[in-house]
Amino acid sequence: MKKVLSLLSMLVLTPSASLLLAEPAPAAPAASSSPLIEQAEAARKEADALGYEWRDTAKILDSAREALQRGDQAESDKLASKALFQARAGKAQGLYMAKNWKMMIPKN
Amino acid sequence: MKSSGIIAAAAVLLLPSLGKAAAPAAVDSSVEKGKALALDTNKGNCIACHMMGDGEFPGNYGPPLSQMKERYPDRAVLRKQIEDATVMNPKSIMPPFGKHGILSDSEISQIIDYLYTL
Amino acid sequence: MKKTIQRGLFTGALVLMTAMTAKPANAAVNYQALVDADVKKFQGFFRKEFPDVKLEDFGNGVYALDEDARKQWKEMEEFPPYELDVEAGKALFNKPFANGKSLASCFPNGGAVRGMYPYFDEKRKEVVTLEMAINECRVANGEKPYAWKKGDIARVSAYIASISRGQKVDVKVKSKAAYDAYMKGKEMFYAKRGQLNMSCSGCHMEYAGRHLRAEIMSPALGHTTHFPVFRSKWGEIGTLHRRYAGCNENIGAKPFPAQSKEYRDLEFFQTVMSNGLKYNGPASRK
Repeated sequence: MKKVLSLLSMLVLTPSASLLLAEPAPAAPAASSSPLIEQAEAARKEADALGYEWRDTAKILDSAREALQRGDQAESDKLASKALFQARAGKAQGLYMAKNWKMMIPKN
Repeated sequence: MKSSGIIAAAAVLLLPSLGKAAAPAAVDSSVEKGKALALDTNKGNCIACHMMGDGEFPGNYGPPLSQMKERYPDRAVLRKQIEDATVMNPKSIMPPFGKHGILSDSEISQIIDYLYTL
Repeated sequence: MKKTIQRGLFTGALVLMTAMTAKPANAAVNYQALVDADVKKFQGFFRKEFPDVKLEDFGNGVYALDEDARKQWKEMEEFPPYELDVEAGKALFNKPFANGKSLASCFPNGGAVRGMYPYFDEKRKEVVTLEMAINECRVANGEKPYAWKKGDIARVSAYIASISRGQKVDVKVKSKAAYDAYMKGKEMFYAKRGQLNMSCSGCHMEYAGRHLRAEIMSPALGHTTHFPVFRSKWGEIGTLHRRYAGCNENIGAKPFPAQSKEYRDLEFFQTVMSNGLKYNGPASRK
């Protein structure tokens, strides 16, 4: 009787055990980009085209993509916003300097 | 009996000083944070160009940061200068710490708190 | 009413006269004269700022401005840290390629050609630098080009600079295309860039001689005469464009690639500004 019971319990337990041990259902594939990242990248290209991209912008944008890959949307958006800010500021700087650089020449 | 009396007396004596320490702690914390930001080469790095308190090897691009309360009685004016010095002087070599996102608003506040102790 | 008509006629006549006498766009503008005026103004700024420094001494940068720094530098120059690089550069200059030729085959005057670069190539319509010429020689002879910022390129450049010492800086700007390249370089020199919003001129003109933390700012006059440099911070010899990239990074700007049009135009402008000085490379610097 004991043997039968133990055998039965094994049969019952094993599928549950296998459920416990089984991998979780595969998550949806992590997004590689977001609208904010796309916007920041477009802005970065504009600053670059003027020759006024800042040093860290691309790196910050890469970090935004990495955060998104790990599923951290909030962090990704924060970093993408920072990259967008830098790209816009660089572009504005470039447009201003194209017009006003001669003002920077010191008067003797 | 005696020891409990001593302990009670000590407690009474300590309380006022504990009370004293509690109030300035919040202000000191901002001043301390501000000083750290001013010395941080990735943040304000003010000492790169300005003589600043007891900081070592200060630069001399800009005027020494002393008597700041007298020179900038209006906090808003000092804030504007740190945020974007090119408003007062388009040729200024001073980085636009606010406009270019080098320092956050709260970081600038902390630095100003520190500057006002100089 | 009369006055208005008179004024109108006068203006009209003026416009007509201007239109009739105006030079067509491609008329011979004396670009060299424009550039020479710039050089005079630029050098005048530094002569006024540092009246006790001889024009030629500006090639020594900070060491021309600061007594203590000069003492330390003179001591370093007793055993110049770039000597081994010059020797290595000489060997590389004469080393045969696979096809039997060598760098020596490409450069006249035994390689003492520092004074020939940079120059504006009218056919190619671009600025040609010494490092560019070195690598073009290699590639033309089936060899791989050197990396641009350090290592062998800097050693060969150091050798060429060392045997060219004393040659006069005399860069010509004769055509519109050359002037355009010069103006691009000039704009890059004066425009603020990067997160720190700084320009070459900002530090190296108005603040030359001042302290940035513990460093003394070098004057822009003489900037390109003494390259390549053995820079203590690098612990090795490196090229001008390496320094350009480092400076751009320091101010929070994305650097341009070495030997990019941007940096070649900047080198062109900077070297023109030092016309009249002598080439005195290679040099050691902090």
